[in-house]
Amino acid sequence: MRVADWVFGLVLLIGAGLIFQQAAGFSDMPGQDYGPAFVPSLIATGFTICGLVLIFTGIRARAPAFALDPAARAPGRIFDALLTLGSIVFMMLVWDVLGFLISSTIVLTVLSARYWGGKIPQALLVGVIGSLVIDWLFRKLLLVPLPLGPLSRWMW
Amino acid sequence: MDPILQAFWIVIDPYNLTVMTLAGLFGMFVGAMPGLTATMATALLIPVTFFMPPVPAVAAIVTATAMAIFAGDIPGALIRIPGTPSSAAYVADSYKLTQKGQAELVLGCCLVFSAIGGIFGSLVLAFAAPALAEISLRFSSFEFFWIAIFGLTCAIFISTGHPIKGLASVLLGLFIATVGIDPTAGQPRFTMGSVELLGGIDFIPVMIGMFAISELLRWVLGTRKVQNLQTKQLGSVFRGQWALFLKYKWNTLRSSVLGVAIGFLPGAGSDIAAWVTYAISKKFSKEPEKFGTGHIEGVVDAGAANNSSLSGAWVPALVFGIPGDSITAIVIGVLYMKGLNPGPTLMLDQPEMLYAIFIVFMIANLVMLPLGWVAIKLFRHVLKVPREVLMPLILMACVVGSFAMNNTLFGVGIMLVMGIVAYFMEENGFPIAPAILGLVLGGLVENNFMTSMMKADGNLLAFFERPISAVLGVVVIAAWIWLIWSMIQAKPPLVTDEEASVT
Repeated sequence: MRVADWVFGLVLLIGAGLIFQQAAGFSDMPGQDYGPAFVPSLIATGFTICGLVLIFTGIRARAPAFALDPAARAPGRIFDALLTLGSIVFMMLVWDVLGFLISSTIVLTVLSARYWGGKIPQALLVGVIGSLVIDWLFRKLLLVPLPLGPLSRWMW
Repeated sequence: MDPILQAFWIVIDPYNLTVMTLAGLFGMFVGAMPGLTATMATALLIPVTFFMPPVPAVAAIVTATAMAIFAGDIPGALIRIPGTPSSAAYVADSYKLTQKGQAELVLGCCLVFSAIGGIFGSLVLAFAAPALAEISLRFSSFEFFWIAIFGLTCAIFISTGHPIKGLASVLLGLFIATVGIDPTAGQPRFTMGSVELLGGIDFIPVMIGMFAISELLRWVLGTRKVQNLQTKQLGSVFRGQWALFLKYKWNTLRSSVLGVAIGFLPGAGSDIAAWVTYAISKKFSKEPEKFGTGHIEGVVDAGAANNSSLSGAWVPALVFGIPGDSITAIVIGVLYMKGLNPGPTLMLDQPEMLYAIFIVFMIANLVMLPLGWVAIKLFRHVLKVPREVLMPLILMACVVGSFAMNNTLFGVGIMLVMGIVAYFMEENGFPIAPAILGLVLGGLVENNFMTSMMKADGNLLAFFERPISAVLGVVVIAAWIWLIWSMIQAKPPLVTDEEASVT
């Protein structure tokens, strides 16, 4: 997605303002000229300069604030992107309740079915086998405490 | 025991060799698959290497990246899609050679000259790193401050056509590095009351988000075209390479040296090395008119350079703790996690580890020949793996990998946010590598600045009082003057927007 330079510039200016405002509240280092606020303030100054230049060049370029690339305008692309990001949020929400295996099977199946143009049986196979392999690799082999959720009664 | 012998024993451990082979195969796969980059291979490997001893962890990354950079040449030559951005410079030539029926010659050339470049780079690394380490032992906080600033400066004006966008990217990285408890005064900064942010933002989830999730989004929103392989069964790829080497030996040497030098500069990685050496090759060639029409000379030059730059990037990483490219930026994080603090003292404290890394580099580049041969033979099958399946699996590996760093979902959240940010940045010409360098170097810059100011009682001129520090300072200031001057003059950039956005 194309975003005009002046929008980035505006975001940087707002960011810089917030950093300045926060940094003003940092305590000084007794007996020192430079305290914890020094580096953040320098960064905010840099953001301000970048922001102003981007606003200037962006306005001169007269590009629309937001524009989609031709490929992204194909039907369903935006939905796919939101689904992809949404699936990460979904994983975070149900991580402990459903456990890794179940939530990963759901996400892998749904995403592969969607990208693959609705081949549901194959997608389900990918979901189940993919989740089992990732679970085995990380939970069993690398000892990452992936939650089991309701499956904890049967698996260990 | 002699440290070199000790290092050798560490490397030939069967566990280490198995890890290297598996990582090599993984790198081959990622590199050969269009749309997946060597940096992405590294980002995906980190969660796994987290659980390994230091040498196998580093060995896995070295082997995977070396293989990925070579394997990126295969789809470039066969279907005109570079597997990684580092192969993009000479894809026109290599594909046209395939169309002329010389697929074996061009693939063999990519493989052999990648290995030669890689071995040359490894030798430079093995000899230059200890020598430089000896000099840098005399460095104090003043010199390290300037070196870090020099690194950030290079990142801004090498890797992008828009210095302002490069600067904004570096500043973003530096800002992320300031989140958490301030190292000198213990002041919590930008934590918004979150306990997890008090410890700072772990850079591995940031990396996974910026290099893997953003790639995924680009694929989802892209054309997703399926490409068919039209070539016949391939014959021997090693035939004719010796003659090629004899013909282009000086080209190989020149590009290997340049590759190492470009790798050494922070912010410029193997892709920039390939573009620059290709351009230089064309300029000094006896037949420049043939470039772009299926001429092997540029492939020899850039193929050797992109692999030698990989090793070159490790020199500043190991000696100063300053990454030469985004892959070594990730590696520095891994080294710290493994207790191998990169910097001049690594040579004194754990010389066997450093030698082990050098030996790993040599082996990785030698193993590239047989593994690369296998990859070329199997490429037909790699292309059959549907990316519709691969992408959800990569997404899941990213989620689990970000979780595994601290066993909290906080990392997954960071990954998600940074993935979205990086997607928008890349799509609009903001390079990603400077942000990663800023993040890695942020703490170093601030700590060395604060320490120096405490030593000098707030006198800024102290940064110019020691000879090496003064020279470094002048170089940095000169670089900035040049940068600002060239912005005012608005000269055409070294690397165009499209090229920079794929780094």
